[in-house]
Amino acid sequence: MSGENGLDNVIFGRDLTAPFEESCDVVVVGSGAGGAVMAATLAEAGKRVIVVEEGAYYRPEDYQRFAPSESVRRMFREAGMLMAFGIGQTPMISITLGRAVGGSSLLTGGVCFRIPSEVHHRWERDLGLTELSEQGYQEAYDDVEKKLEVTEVPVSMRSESTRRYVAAAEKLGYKVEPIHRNTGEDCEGNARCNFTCPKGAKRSVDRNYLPSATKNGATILSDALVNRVIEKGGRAAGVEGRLLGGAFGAPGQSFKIHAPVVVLACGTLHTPLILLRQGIGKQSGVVGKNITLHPAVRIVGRFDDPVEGWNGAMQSVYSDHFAAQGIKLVGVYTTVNFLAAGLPGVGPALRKRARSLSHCAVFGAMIHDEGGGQVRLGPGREPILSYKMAPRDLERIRKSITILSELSITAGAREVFTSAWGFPPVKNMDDARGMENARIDARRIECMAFHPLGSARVGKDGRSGVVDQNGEVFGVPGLFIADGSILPTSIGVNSQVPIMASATRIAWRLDERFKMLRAS
Amino acid sequence: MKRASRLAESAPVGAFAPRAGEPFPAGAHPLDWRRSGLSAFGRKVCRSFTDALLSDENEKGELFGPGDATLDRVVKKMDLWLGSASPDLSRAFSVLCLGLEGSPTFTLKRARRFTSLPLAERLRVLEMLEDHPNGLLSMLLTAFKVPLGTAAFEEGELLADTGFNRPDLIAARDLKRTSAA
Repeated sequence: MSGENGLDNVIFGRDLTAPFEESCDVVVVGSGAGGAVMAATLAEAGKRVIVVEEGAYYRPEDYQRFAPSESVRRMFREAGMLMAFGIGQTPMISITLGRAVGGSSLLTGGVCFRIPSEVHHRWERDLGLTELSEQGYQEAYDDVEKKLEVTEVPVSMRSESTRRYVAAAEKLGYKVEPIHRNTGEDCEGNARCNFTCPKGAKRSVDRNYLPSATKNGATILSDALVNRVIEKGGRAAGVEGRLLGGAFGAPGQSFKIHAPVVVLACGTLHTPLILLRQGIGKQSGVVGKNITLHPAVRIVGRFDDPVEGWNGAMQSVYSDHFAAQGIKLVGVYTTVNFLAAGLPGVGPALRKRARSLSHCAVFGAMIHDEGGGQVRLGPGREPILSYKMAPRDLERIRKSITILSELSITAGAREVFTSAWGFPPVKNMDDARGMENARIDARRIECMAFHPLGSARVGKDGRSGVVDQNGEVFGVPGLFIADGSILPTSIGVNSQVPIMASATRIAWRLDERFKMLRAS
Repeated sequence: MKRASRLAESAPVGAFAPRAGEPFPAGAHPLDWRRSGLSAFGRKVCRSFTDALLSDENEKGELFGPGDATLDRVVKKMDLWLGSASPDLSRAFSVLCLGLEGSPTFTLKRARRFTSLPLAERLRVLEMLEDHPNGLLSMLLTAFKVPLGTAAFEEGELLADTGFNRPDLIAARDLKRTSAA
């Protein structure tokens, strides 16, 4: 696999001491799942590509040795403390996003799903997006899955934590299926994928797509924040911004990159910032709005005997038994320091529970939500994300906690620590069922989200969407968006492969039209 | 823009890219952004919070804190985290520190600073925040508990307490042990 020892052609923006201007065929803003695909595909097609990334660059040989706190500090946006501001009865939702060369692909569990057929059908049938059919994505899915070496997680790689929940699910009649992940045959079950893989098994985009891009002449500029799209004659003509991370107190040097094609792939929370600043897509009325998050909860079950759930793949199974109710059950684990910090209690109570972690198993659920999120320009560099959870979705969260608690009790757990802060542990089925109707202030429920989507959605025209079905922004020729922001609805599954397949489609179409785009 | 050079002139392509086996460029530790995230007040609040969060009881039921070395380590990590994030987050966290400092007013109903309370009373404040029916106060606790707890349980005695049986959280799984079992 290429890229084993790092990328060539990376320029560290933090080390540049003077402003600069440059030109190329295509400038890609963001190096995550969407941006890396665009850069690689277009560089392979002979285009001169510059990738601009706000975060820093770390070589795999370095980040594979990061402790979780070091990964959080260096590679997580806002050091892992990014939150959605809940409006009304909305749980607190922490958002995990990457900010480094490779973006969030460095921090995923490696889970690979295609967009479910019914979602494609809905886009085609209800929204009139005929090119976004399942068939229209087929070739792109195949291409992405091949490059990521997507494989089914074998039963042997399941942790004891997951095995107990699988047995309980089967007892309750829930069908459980193996997850597919982008680890090839290399996963050794270290259960800490979201803080980078010590084995380097996960095929994040810095290990396949970006090496291909740089091998074909692309340049990656790290530590560089794009503020604006340069517009000339009513079309995109490049980007401008400033460099980050230089000497303390020194102002960041400015830069301009001129290009006839600009691709924004900064992610669902940051792409709309650039659009909002310049009023791009304003006519649609949807820029920054209708964001879906797939809010997720997890529970921790304590057993009498050792579980040592850290031995095995972090995620290996899922169940769609409750799909009709918008709930996906997923096997999950994380590092023990994060698990310990999330246990209920403080002081001696917390210390006592932390001592039982080797006897604990973890399982999670993710909901298929309505778009209640909105991104606004903040007073500083970062956006403000608010989220108003729909009553239906809050019910789904409560239902998920109940289902997970029932599963834990069925699996033999002595007590179950739910994600409702300040609530006593669940100890039997009655307690578990009681959670669904318990009057819990929603803000006492701890949720996580890993897949913000839909802030610059695709539409049939400029009144209903920001971009067309080929990813080009309505009214600004030459400006494309290729990240999760363009997905028009919640997809209910992990978003890396869907984003990469969408970007692949956009890159193929863009390549076909490049001569015309440049001439115009 | 005062003087615009070409990117290639300013930084020849590849000039700063570390290659396999080569060190990173000269300067301060190149993997880190060089900024502190916590003010002196923020460090004091975090230290005081962590002391209560990680307090434990001895055999006689007496409360004791985790010790200076652990507190130094945890607060340092928090400082580095916030220093690597945007100034927006540092400002927001400063507001949360003020909220926690004033929290005895909402919990103990006493106009005292959190950091001025003895350990047992600080622990009581945290318990009351966690159990408070107003979710906003639970959120205040969580905003400190999750990052500081995560930093705390990452190494040393606190990690060993969890029963995690690898040398540290970077170490790969011992597959020989697994297959033997």
